Amino acid sequence: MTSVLIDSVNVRFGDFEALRNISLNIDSGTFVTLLGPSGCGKTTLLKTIAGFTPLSSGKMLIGGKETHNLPPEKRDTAMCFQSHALFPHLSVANNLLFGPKQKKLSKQDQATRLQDIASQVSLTSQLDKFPPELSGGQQQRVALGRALAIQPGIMLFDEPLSNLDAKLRDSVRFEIRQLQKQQGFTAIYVTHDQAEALAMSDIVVVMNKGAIEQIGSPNDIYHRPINRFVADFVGAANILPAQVLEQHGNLYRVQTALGQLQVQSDQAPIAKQTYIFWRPEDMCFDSENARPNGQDNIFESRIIAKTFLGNITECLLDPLPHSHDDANTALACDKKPSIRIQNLGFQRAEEGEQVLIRVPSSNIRFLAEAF
Amino acid sequence: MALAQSVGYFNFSGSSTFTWRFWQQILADNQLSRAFFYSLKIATISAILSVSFAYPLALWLRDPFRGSQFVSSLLKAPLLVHGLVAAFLYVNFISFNGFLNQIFVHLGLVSRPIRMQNDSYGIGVIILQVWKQMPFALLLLTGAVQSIGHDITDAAKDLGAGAWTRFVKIILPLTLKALQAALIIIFIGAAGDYSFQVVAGPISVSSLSQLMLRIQANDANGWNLSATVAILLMLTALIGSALLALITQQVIKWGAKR
Repeated sequence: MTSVLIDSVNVRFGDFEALRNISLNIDSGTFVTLLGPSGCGKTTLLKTIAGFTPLSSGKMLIGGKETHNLPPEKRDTAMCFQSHALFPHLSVANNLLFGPKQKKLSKQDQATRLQDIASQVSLTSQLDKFPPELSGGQQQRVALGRALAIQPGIMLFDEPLSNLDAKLRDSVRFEIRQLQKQQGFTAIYVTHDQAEALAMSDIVVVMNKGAIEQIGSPNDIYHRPINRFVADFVGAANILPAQVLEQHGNLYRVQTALGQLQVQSDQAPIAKQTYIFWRPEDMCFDSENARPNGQDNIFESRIIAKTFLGNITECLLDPLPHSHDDANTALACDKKPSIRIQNLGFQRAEEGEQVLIRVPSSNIRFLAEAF
Repeated sequence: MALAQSVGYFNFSGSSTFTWRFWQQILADNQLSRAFFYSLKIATISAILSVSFAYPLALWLRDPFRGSQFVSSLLKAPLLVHGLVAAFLYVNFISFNGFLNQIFVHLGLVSRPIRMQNDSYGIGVIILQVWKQMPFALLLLTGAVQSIGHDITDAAKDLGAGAWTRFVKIILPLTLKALQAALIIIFIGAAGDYSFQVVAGPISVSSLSQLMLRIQANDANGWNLSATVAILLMLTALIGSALLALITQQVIKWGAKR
């Protein structure tokens, strides 16, 4: 098992800064996901760890050893590529044995390693085939097995599931996580799929424009995003600028474009003018027989669009003006935001219908970002 | 036509009937075996050297860099120069009173000019062949090398393969078709070379094409005898290039699996 320490790393390509002041400490045996949109630098960071991309400044330690000028073949890493990068002229067996042969394992050890890896990745019956004869899922397994065969301390995954269909993605994702838990290697996984990141990781690193936005557990990243980018990128979010009007203990009254809302938060806002957010599943349609709660926010909206997604129904709402609020504030005059709501199962409300929406004050959180 | 003439038909100096006598006469001639092995040597060495020089250049030019287009064009320039002109310039350069000897003497490397022209090993011809054919190999191999994704070579690197291993186990097998095409075409061209041989080749031994012309001019049955040499030349080119390609394939496959 191997740890990774990345300290103030910068990578530049000409005038373009691909990585800006990246610092990250990855403990041995952790499954870390680098999550972000295309071009955010996550693959560059992975390739920097692998040794394919040199650092412009900063330092990196793998297993406590400085990696400066250490070529990829001398690092305790193995990479699973987005394109699989299988050797098309070699059989599955020879693909799997490529690494062990470079490590000069004896013939007997190679045979044992081949059998172990082939059974781990369920390829025992495919060993004589060539990569083009395999399905996408099988090719992915060969790529995974080939990397595992050198028993690296760190496995690097560069969007390995992006070429697979949704069903296969789920099963291979599960297999990767199981293998990581069984063998205990450190995994660094790159993806732009937030569901994949949340499902697989111990730690999620959200990146944007070459920098790290937030590091945290999947739960932290989803429920306590630090800013608008993280809140919006990781899942759907309703984000509003808000002006803090008053505070009673951990209950805050804020002015928003929707009117005045109550926010119950143990974490104080970083400024008077900040952003609040809540997830679409953290709100519900209000029914007349619902138990009244003085701390809940209830507002009237019109349904603009409704989408039934099988397990949930998602609606886009156009909030109606709130008669009790101070309509003269700048926030109230802001362009009225659209609000997304997601509820389990099928919802009867139809497009164009006016509905009451309830957002519990404990479900609204402050973002650590001022405006 | 050549085949028919080699067995006695289209005889311009006697009766046109089927006969093996031209084959018997030419196969008994010591000059033929010398010319055959000489042409085989020149063709094989030229083909192998041309691709050997072309590979590192193709790998160097794989990723564009400032000036790479210019370097690439410069390396391919010999394709535009006619072989006879190149041979003339080369001989001019290495001749007894040529530029190279004058430089050697001027620098004190030798006390008097040395004889390099028409060397008996055919080195001059091989140099000219490689100079002329290497750009062609480069043209074929550059495309093949560029078509290998960086992920493939990165994966090999990541799994512990050094530069030589990556070349032997990944680059060579994945560019095998282009390599074979280059070897075949260069071998055929060099096996049938006439102009380089006449201008810069050894005086003591002929190439097959040189022998073919000489026999045609000097013998009463010249057309029929030279037709047999022509058939042998074609067979040498065909079988020799195919064997070279086949051996290359087997060696590369063996190397990749090791």
